[in-house]
Amino acid sequence: MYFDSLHALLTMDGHGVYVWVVYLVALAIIALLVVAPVRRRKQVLQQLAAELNRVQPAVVSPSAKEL
Amino acid sequence: MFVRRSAHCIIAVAMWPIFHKFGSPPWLYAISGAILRWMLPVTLILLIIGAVWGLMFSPADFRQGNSYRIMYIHVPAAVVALAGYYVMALAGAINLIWRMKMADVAMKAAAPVGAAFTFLALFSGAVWGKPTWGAWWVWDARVTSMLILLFLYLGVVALYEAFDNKEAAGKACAVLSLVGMVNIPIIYKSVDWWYSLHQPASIKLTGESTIDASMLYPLLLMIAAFYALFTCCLLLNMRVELLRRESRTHWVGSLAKRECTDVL
Repeated sequence: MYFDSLHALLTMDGHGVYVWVVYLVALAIIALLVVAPVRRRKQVLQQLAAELNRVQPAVVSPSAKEL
Repeated sequence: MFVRRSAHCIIAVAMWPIFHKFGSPPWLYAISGAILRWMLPVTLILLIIGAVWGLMFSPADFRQGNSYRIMYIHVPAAVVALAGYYVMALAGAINLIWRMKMADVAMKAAAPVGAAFTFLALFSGAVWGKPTWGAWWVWDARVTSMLILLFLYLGVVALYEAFDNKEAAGKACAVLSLVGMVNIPIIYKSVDWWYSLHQPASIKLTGESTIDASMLYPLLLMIAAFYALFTCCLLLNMRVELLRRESRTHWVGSLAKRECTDVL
């Protein structure tokens, strides 16, 4: 490792705040970019499933449950 | 002439199944799911390796000290923000010319991802600017043209939402993103055309790069990881959009029933 201690890694000779803020914001943006569509996909499917169930209640047969 | 024309015909016939498949939402949904299953974990691992390398193992810059470590986020984000614009504009053009619905889906999916990367490039640049230039923000040619890129991305997102008729929305957004293409060479050339605080490119495809290997390798790794991340986000967004548009079809209905048995 380039730094001698954890403290040196965190402070980075005074530049630590700038560097770590950028990396944390990058992490937050990346997490949002990945999680948001995964959650929306689930929402869309659940909404549709509920809608379809209202129109035509599903007979959940034992074989269908296995799927 | 005849030979060349028949060759074109053979290529067209051979390519047709591929075009046909790309136009098929269930196929696109399935193949993107299969790609994401391995690509998403690989991308996240690459990002972690690149970030740890850049933060902890690469040496400090002799002039900028440790603040230069922001480069490992800043440069990949900016590179992919520009590449994402090509994807968006190209998809828009394909939709305009060949009326390909899946291109419209890709264009709509690319816009918010590109906006996020552009924002990250601007934000990291601002934070890097404070210890290096002594200012959070300067109305520099490179910085200003990147801000315009952000507005172009956000403009496409907003314009799409503004239309009730989504076919008209797709066309309007395609035109907007194609017109916005003039901004791309301006961004590239801004550091050469105008007197600028922003440094010119250090990595060159032709000629000697002005960056040491100990910094170049983690940077290239992060650029590759960001490209992969953009692809993943694009596919993730496209899948949601596909489900929305195809929600009245049989394949989405049965998918909803299969995946949401807990709701029923």
